[in-house]
Amino acid sequence: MVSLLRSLPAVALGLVFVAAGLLKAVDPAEFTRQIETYGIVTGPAAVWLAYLLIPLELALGTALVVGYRARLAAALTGALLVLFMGATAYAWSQGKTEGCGCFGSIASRTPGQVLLEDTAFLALAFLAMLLHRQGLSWSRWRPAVVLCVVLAAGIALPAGAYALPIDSLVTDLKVGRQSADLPLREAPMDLSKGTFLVALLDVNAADSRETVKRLNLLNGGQTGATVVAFFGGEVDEKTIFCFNTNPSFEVVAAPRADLKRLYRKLPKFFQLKEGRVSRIWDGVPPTPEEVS
Amino acid sequence: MKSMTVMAVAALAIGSIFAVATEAPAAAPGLVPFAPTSTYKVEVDGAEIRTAETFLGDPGLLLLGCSLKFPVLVCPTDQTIRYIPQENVIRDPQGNVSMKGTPTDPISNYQTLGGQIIFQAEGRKVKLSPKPPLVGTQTLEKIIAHNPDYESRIKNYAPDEAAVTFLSQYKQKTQIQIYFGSWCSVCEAWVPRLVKSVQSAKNPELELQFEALPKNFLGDTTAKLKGITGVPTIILVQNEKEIGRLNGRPEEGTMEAAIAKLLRTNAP
Repeated sequence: MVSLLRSLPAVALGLVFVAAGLLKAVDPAEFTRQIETYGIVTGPAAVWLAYLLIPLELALGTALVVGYRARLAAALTGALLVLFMGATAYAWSQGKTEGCGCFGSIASRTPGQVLLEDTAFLALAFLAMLLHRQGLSWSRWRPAVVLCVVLAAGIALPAGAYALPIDSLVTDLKVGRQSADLPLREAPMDLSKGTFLVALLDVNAADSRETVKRLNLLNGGQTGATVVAFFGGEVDEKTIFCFNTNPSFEVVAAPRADLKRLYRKLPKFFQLKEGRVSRIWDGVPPTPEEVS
Repeated sequence: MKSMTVMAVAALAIGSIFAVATEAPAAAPGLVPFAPTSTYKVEVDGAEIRTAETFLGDPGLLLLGCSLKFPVLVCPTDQTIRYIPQENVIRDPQGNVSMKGTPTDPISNYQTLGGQIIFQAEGRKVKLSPKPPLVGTQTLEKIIAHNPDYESRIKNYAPDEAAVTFLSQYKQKTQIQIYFGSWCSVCEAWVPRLVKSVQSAKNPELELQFEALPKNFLGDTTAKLKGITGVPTIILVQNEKEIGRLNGRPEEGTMEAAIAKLLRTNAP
């Protein structure tokens, strides 16, 4: 019993790291973007760092949960946390924080909150180092196998993440969901009545013009659907986007953190019929027949 | 902060002015109409051209008065820059502009970079960028001129009737101070809803005041003074005292219902 209690900090911290690693593994592009917002590492280096940190977090988390070299794993986890805290503090001091200053994002945290959270995890890491005595009894080959499997999963999962049909598991966008439950409160129309084709766009995407051209064909007319497009960003980005692409439909700027709850990869499209998500499309807009 | 009483009649008048200003006017047969737009700032070789005029029409964005040889047409369909012979640009007494004939073949292509349109013409670098955000005390007219979407959002919004009824019958003189960012997406969605609700209430006791904050406003003097940590922030003032504030969009329901609730519960 005492031994179990002693291993609690390690297990708790391990579960946090495994969960964090898995969430990053299913959306590595977002993790890369988050790394870039710190302004320390950008471009290909940020991609490499993301793909390195994901298996590392998973491996450390697994080692803490199963109690394999738990004190060493706790020390390494603590070191990683100190690194994260340093990066957060640096980004904060440079004014490079995620928020645009707009209220509205319920998901995002301030750098101060992140530092507080990391401090709590660091305390757990210290407790794990101090208290942990022994883990599971392992034969010689088992730990190596487990770590190899976790590391392989940590490399393979991000590499193939976007091919996996798991959007409905890891985002809030699901068929049957009501419009009132979607983070689209900036919509300039009542989405609960009528038929809408909602587009979630990246205004900087190279193929934006082609996407908008297709959406223009779907707006109103025989499809009977009103197209409305959302993008995560600020109002002035809309000006140039609309000039360049000439949309015949409403384009709405919204807090990125809100919209991010609905997708892993852009563009994404979904149909709302009388306030309910009826169909979802990835990558390219649907055909008029699909919308009708 | 200067104040502005928003009343329905005034708003309708403002609305109609901007409806004319932002839609391309009808033109004579054979002429392509363009409407003036104040959305873009024009820079040539790094210097802002304050005399430059910009007009939007189906073929693209027309630039006049920016010290180039001819008027320039920025065509988004093929991302090209073309000239329009001076004699083919016709200006009417209302300030609208039409084009006759066709523009020249492309003289160059433009690129978009960080929300800007950049091209070379006559060996000079021309940059078009959205106008910088509004800062300081504003009127509704100025806000709509800066961002015409505010006007359509105000026009199309159907406010919460119960809240509007409460606001219309409210007896205490109240300033509704709106701290917002013209760059902020949440503000663009929610501020027009509040404006429409107060307009619909037609209550002269309720006065809307607008204060635009810059991006990265945390160091801004006004923001510091008022303890603004995000936008939009709505502060209700009676007899020069703050009686309540709404930080951002309401967690649920409408902005007008949240304001009505604050007035109902916080008023002395």
